[in-house]
Amino acid sequence: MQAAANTGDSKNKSRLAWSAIIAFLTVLAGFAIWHSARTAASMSGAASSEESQFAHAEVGSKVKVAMEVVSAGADGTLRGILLQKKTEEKYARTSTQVLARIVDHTAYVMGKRDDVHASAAIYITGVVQKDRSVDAEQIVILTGYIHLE
Amino acid sequence: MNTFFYTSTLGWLASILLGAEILLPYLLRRTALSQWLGTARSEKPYLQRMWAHYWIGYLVALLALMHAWIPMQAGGARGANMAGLWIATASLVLLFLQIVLGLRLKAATSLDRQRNRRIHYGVMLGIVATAAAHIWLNG
Repeated sequence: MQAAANTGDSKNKSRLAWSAIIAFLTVLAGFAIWHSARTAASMSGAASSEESQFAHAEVGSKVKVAMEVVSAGADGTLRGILLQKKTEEKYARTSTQVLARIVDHTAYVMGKRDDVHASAAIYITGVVQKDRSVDAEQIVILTGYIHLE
Repeated sequence: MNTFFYTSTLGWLASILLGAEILLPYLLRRTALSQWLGTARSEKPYLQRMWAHYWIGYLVALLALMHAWIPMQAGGARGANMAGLWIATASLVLLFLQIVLGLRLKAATSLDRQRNRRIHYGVMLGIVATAAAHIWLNG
């Protein structure tokens, strides 16, 4: 009788342990999917990168621009051209010049500081300065995920 | 951005399952951890209890292959850190080598079982190191 009770307890303990492990893995997988979806959504946000919108943005306002980097200075100055979104993965180069600055608190998504180089495609969220430059709060590295035309 | 979503999701799922894959033998073998958790209480032989380890191994390799295939097909590898991609390629090769080693270990009559287990363990460390480097460089 005692042995049967012990076997039952042991079975329950085993079941509980496996359930906890499977639940933990499921939560981790859910978090991974949520994180990927969130990052993909932040890339899709580049739709607001309209040429006229950027040109008329007020000083101090927050803008979101997709740009192709033409030159990246060691001081964090980025010069490039504005990209116009055509489809989810196709962007067209425009004639609008963009000047942006990497600041201390600039956050990077899908890459690192080293990925911001000449010919890189990036999506910047930042604040418009008096000289019409943009202080980057967040840079999403789009290189490799979009096609430029 | 579907390419990014699928690539990222598959990569993270493969990483999570890789962790589970590594942990499983320690939970199924009679160790202090498995005794405490009660996870090794089955009366079945060890190699039969390892069925989940075998199938997760195949699944990790499949997910890793899809994780590589989707961005390559979309031309999404351009501009990415090349060192990271070469390391990821090495990781993929190691994953398939690990399957071959695992199949040999599954044959309980294998004469050089101890040696194969050591190699299997070493390749596991190689996969973890290359996967971690790939995540660091391309993640």
